[in-house]
Amino acid sequence: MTKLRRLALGFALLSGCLGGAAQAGPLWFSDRPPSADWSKHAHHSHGGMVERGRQGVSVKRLWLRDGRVPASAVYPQFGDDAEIAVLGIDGKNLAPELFKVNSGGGITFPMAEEGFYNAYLIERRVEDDVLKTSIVKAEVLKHSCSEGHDPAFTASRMPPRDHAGIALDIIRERRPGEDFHTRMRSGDELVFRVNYNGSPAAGAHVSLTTQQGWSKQVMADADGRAVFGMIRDYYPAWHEFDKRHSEAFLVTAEFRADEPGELHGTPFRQAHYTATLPGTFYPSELEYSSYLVGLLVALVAAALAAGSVFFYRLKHGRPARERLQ
Amino acid sequence: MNRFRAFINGADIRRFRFWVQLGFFFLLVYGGYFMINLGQSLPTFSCGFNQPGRAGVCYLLPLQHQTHIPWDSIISGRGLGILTGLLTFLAWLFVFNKAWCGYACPLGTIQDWMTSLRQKLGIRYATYNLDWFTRLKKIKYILLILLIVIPFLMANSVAGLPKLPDDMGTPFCKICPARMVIPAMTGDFSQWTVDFSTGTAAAMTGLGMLVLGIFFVGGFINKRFFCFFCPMSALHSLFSKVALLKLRKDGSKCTRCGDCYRACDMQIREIADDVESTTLVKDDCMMCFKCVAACPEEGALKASFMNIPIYESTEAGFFKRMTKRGKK
Amino acid sequence: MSAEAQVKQIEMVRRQLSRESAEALNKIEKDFPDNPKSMDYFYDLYRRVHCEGEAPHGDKKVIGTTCVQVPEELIYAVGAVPVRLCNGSHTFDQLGAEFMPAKSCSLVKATLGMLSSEVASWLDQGGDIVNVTTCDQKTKAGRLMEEAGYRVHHLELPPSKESEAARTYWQSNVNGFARSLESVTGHKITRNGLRDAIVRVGRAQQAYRRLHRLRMSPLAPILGKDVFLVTNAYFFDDIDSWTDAVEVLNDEIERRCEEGFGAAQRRAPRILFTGSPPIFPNLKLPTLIEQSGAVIVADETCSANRMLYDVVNVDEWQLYDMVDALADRALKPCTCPIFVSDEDRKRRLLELARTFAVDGVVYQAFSGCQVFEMEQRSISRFLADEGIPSLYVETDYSPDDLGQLSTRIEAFIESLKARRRRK
Repeated sequence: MTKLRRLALGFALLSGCLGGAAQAGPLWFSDRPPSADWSKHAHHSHGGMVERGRQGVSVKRLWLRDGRVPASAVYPQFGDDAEIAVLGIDGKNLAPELFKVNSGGGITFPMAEEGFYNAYLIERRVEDDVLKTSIVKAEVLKHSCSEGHDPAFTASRMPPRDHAGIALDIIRERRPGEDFHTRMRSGDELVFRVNYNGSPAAGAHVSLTTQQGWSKQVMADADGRAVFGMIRDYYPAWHEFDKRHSEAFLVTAEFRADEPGELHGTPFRQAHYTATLPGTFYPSELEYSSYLVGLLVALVAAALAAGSVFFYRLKHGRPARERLQ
Repeated sequence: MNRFRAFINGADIRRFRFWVQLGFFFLLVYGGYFMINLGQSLPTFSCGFNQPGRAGVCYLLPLQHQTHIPWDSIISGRGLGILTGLLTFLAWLFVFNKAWCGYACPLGTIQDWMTSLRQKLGIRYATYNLDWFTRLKKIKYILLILLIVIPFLMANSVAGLPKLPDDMGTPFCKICPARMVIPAMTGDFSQWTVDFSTGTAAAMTGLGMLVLGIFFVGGFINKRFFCFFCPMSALHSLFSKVALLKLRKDGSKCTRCGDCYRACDMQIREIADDVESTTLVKDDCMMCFKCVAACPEEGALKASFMNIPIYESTEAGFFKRMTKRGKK
Repeated sequence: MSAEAQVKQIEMVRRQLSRESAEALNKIEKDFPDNPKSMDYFYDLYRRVHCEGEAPHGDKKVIGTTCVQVPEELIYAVGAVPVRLCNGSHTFDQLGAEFMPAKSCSLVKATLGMLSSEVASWLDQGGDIVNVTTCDQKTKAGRLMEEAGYRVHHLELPPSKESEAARTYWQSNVNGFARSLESVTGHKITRNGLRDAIVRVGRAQQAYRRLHRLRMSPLAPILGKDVFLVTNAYFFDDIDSWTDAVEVLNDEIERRCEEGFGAAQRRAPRILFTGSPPIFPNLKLPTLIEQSGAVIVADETCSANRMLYDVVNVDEWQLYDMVDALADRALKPCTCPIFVSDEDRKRRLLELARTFAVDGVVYQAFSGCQVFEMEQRSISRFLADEGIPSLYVETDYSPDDLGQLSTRIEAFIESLKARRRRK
């Protein structure tokens, strides 16, 4: 079974690489820096890598990536004609800063408040009478435990937001009981909703690709929903296992609409939208925690403790045994 | 007023405590379902792992997160976070002092229930002899120091030694039986596992399950078994002198009959033998005030709040309780 | 000695004894006006038991005790009745002189005298006695009781009560005593039996404490000689009738307090009595004090306060806790001078002196009672430092020193009165 899966994985990888080489994959955002140098600036936080900005405000740096498979996606240079927006907690645009360096490019923006930020980059061009629109989205969480865990506050910041102005929007549905600490794990069922101009994009092709290139495509249902079961995609030797090992996944939605129009004077007959949303997932807790051993340890400890109390009373209990019971 | 006083002083503290403890148990273990949130600095074992049932978080959890701090960040917002957490904790403690242990702590309440069960079964309780008592009581201070120092050594390399591994995080929670017991009260047994992801994690969680096993036996046979080792109790005792709620003793009225000492679940000898001190909140004291109820001398022991006596030992109260309990 | 002569001698002792008791009782009852009505129960009791020789408990199984440290609840729990054998009669004192060195305590001698004569009606020949190893004389007296043909359980008391080791040692001895009680009587100590016994004794103590508290009244409502008689009756009376009688007395005294009736003059110096226990018929010193115009308002003796004041508290009403609690009650608060430290006794005296607005302390020591004699210096110095005048009286059961004693007592009381006037 495992062998089969590995084989499938190999094919997926191969096809991913080939796909990447043959044709530029979708653009997406990632907070993983391209080099160790850049890694030094950032540190781990709930919601991913953050940098420390002025007055201690957390700053998020999102790199633009190109390629369907997260493991091999490149860090392309930034096109000049893209529209960029980062919508903060209150839905207002935070005016992100663009950056371009040798190793890639992307945006940075400060995250003052706790909660989810939605970053968008939208590129449009007309090719062969078709309007091709890439909607690159990232949903970024800002949370620091030092700011407390008021459940009412957390609950108020949890729900995902729809942005009606976005032509094709992928929205990750929250998991039951999700809070700022919840991690997505292998074995979880992830639900995404795809909206086309604010209403469900039924029939959109939605695919999910894991870090190593495993991929699955589904059609959004009448409510625009696409459901994926997260696979296990991490097979280290047992002593190398790291429960904090995170891998990226990428959700892509494609939607075609027969809408003639024109862009900067170039007419088109059809519109083709591609939206991306990255995510991170971790190994399942069941892979490394054992109820059986836990209960065994507790039972043995309890038995030993009870036994020693019993024998202590039996042995040292001469005066105690004289005691009336 | 005098009749009201007499009624209060004649009250059966056990029943009062039972209901107050039950109330706090429901509040702290299930309050989260009713959107109750008392903050992150509670001076009692309102276990943070009990989600979403918790109505607030035991201060030791954020404390262990906060002390995971690099040297250079101490003078910054994060350092300030440690300070505000501590101040909130102290504010809670300032009012109710160690009564948090005797009346609010869910783990303490569970142990009291275990004690009642043992009592019903007629199994004799265990006590420590004085030698072991003085030796073992230091453990809670050691645990308190470790739970502050270990996270700090995870963030800082001291004397060129490598930093401690991340899996040492919240080291006390790892071995605290409340992490397993309290969430289990809401049906969440996810903490009852050994985490094999790394050697450190396996050691810490294995130790935790070991402590859990000992907790069940110890708590059954020994009154308030765990409280004797509880670093929260140690942290309380550092500040309990200034708190508003006090246990006062008038040594001149004391005949050293030892009735209070017999009633004390924490085996505090001084409550009977110390006739010099006027306030007697020892580090193990949980302010259950059973000693006050056990004292037959007028006003020898009293619980006072801001120097106003709220519960006082009286002869009439003593005999009222004795005849009531002796009848059953 | 021929059998006939022996019978004659017993008869003589009996007559002497009843004469001694009757004299003492008359003095206590008739020499004072305005005795509380409810004291009649006690006067009558003494008349029956001491003067007429009635056995106090009929044919119930009686177990003799010799000290306050014996947890009598255990005896009740095996269905027997405890009777305190400590004796106060000069007649028996003389009989007992045969067994003890010349300079020994009258109380121990009298107790031995009673047990060795065949007059003893409280306990059958060969009956069971619990003897606590308190002072040397009592310890050895236990052995002598064995020789006199009694079955004696030697209950070992540690010589100090401060250490935890002493406490556990005593607890295990008391547990051993409980076991041997079970084998002696063939009755098992049950949880319910012991709990009822504790509540029963607790009720008696509650009654005593109420009496004790009533005496705090600024105008003494009852004389000390009567209270000594009451507490003394606890030695041998049926506990429930004793308690009821004390409660009746309490009600009467409470009425007296409300009516502003004083048993002594308003200006009578208030005396705290401490030291060797006054036991009927030897109420020589208390009677003398009150005849001289003072009033005993409180005491610190093992025939009264020390015996009845401290109450047991049980945390878990199971045998394992009840027996240990009884052991603790007997040991920890005890102010007996046989223990190394006298701190508790000092504190108790000071607290009693303060709460009862005492003018002076009378310290009685039976000549030969070494421990009370030895503690006298430190106690007297302590009281002087606290500004409380005290009188140390060394005496015994013989009436010979009455004249000399009354001079000293009167002088002391005059000085107290003068001191009061100066204030």
